Amino acid sequence: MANEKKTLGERLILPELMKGYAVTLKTLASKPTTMQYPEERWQMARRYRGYPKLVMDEQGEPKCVACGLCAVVCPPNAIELQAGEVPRAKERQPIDFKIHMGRCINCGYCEEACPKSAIEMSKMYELNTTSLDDMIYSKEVLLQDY
Amino acid sequence: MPKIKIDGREIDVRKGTTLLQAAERLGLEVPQMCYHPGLRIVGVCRVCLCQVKGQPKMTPACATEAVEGMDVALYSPEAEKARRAVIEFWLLNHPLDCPVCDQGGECPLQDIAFDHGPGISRLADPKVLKQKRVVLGPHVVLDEERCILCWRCTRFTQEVSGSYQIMLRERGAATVVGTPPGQSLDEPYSGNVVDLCPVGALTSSDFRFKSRIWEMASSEGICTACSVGCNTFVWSKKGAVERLTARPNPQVNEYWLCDRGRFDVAFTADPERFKNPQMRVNDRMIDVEWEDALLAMAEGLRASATRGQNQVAALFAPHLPNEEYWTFQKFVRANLGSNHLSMGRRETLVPSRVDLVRRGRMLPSIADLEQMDAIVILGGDLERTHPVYALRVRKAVRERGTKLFLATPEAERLEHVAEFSERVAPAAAAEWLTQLAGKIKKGGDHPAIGTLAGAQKVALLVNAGDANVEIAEAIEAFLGSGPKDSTWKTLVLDEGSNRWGASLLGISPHYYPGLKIVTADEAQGLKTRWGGRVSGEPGREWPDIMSLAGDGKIQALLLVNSGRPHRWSFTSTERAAIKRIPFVAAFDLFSADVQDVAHVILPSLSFAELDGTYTTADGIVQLARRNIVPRGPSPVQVLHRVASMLGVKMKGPDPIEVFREIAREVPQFAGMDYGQASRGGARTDRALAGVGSR
Repeated sequence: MANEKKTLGERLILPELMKGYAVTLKTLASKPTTMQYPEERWQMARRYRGYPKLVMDEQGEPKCVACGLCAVVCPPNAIELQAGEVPRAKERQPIDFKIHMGRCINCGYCEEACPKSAIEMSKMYELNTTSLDDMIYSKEVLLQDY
Repeated sequence: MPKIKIDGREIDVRKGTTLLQAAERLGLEVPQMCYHPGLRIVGVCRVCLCQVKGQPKMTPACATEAVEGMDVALYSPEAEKARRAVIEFWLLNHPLDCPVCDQGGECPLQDIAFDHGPGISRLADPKVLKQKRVVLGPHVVLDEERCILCWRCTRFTQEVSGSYQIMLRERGAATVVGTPPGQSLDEPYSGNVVDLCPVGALTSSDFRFKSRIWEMASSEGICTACSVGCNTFVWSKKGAVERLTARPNPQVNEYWLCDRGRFDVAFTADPERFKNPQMRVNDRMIDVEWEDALLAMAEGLRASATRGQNQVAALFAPHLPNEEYWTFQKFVRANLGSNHLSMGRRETLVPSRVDLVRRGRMLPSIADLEQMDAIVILGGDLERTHPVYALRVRKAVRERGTKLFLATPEAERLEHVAEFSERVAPAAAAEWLTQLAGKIKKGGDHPAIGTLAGAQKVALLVNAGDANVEIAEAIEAFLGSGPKDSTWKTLVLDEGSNRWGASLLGISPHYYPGLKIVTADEAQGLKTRWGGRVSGEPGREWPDIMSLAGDGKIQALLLVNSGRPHRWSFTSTERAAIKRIPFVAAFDLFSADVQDVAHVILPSLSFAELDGTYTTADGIVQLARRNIVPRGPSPVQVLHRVASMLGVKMKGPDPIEVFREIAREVPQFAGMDYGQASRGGARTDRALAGVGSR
């Protein structure tokens, strides 16, 4: 406000300037808080829910039996899968498993619904792509470690 | 009328009612596993155990007859405790692989264990492991671990289909179901055991692991594989029919389907199906837009629509819904002025057949077979052509002791329950029947005569394919040879699921809708109602149409098929004759036959994509609901558009509007609506009896 009464110290400017420099000097000496993303990254909390991924069993096969419970529980309908028969003890396995990560809302319901602990929420949160189609993760991508 | 009390509620029941049926009439939910209304009661699952006052032990509700004064406790703490124990026994060795199991979501074991089970397992030892994948036959795969030994499958093959191809082996916890050594489950009804199996032990090899129950949309359908008209549930996912299951209808199929109808669904999602309309340009078929195809069709028909009468011919497949037959015949009759309407090569609607109908000689309902003293089957193997009717024949033999006589060209499975069987070729069937009639009348030497000469109720099932036409007069002679006041009836079984409906709706060169003979007078009557230019001159049958086409006297030809694949199988002379027709339009799903000869091909819809009614061989009109949203218009919609391009207004294109018109115009369909047609089906027989006086 133009007609607001200022104190003498303020009117002299210089003391205020010194105060400002003091703050600057103090911060200059301390460790910076800004993280140099993407060179530096957060260590996510254990309970953090990133995007879901599929889990492998000891034989290197997906644990998933394609029961479809994750797909039916998924609020934004981001999961699509097709079961198929395999000649192994497990009998049933997804022949196709797709998650549209652009739709995923990281709610973690799929992980909760899964009777085989075959899908879990990863710590991954980055989706930057140049095409929407890249956000549809195929079975092969979902089984990778991310 | 015994009066009993169930959980404090009183009910009067008929003698012979079981406690389970009485409780269900009261609206009480009775946990049940081995009980099935279509099978004999065995009471092996023990989950319906209830307490009857005064009896020391629990008794199964399904196998206990209600007796005056019974005081039954279905949900007393003791009964619930017993039930909990039964469920615990089931689950002892049940693998609980519900996420993998096909039955998950429609499994009574899941439901019952959830509602009445203990909720926890006390089992510390490992479960008994068995075979997880046993191929029983071409359609059925068994998971031995999941089986809870309800005996439904074994009872089905023993009582209903009579093949005895599933049995129990071993004893105690090691008991498994399976086929007898060296045999496989290859009877024509094997798919029913998959429907019957309450758990996921018997799975269909076609459907196995393809889809979870909740992923599919289900709707009420009618099987179009033959004229039995079995009620089905159609289950589809992503525009493809995944499976058919039986929908109970006591008048038609009871609880059963045959394998031929049940497993023939893959074509609905076949990539080879016509997707776009095609037009012949420079003698090659190319995909075109719908609008262009419709315009081409209107143009092609316009020329013949204005010329003289009987210049256009239409050939129909025998499994279209009533609504399509009606719309097409009305269009061809009223707007193209032609009676050249043909159903296949051989016209089955001949005067002697219509006479049988007019005299009330037709079997009013297939369910009446159960009341017959004797059944005579003439012609082909019923189990191959109309399999579910054969189950009805077996039931009559089993439950009433009906005598069965077979006169068929080859050895068949029904012979095992037949009193007598004889090899008769279809061509000789008429002669055989006339001779038999003569022998019954005059007394002759034939193994069937002892039974037939005194029988009050006899049904003759004629199943001789194309030879059916020649047999009609012999049928009359045979039916008339019964003793005085006897009611001998017949059912003539033709190929195709809706041929009788088509006949009633006028797909015939000689008959207008309602079995009215084509005459100038009738034509005048139709002209006042329909407008247009209905011809009073009878059309020709297919061979004659072909010779007319060869002479260049046919201006346009419509080949109409929808619902399921159909092979026209034209001979080379027919093909040459068709090539001389200036304009040929085909409605089809896929067929190399039409691709050769048609000028315009319009993709038609599969049975799962059509709303419509079908008429069974015994005259029941049943509604099938659309299950899959089609990509293109239905044949009725197409015809509607083409008609409006030609400046004609037609009823429809909604099937329900077309059906209202049928109910108004065709006496046999009088008073019917979609409501009746969906509730178990509407009968055409009452109106049929009145045909004679018309």
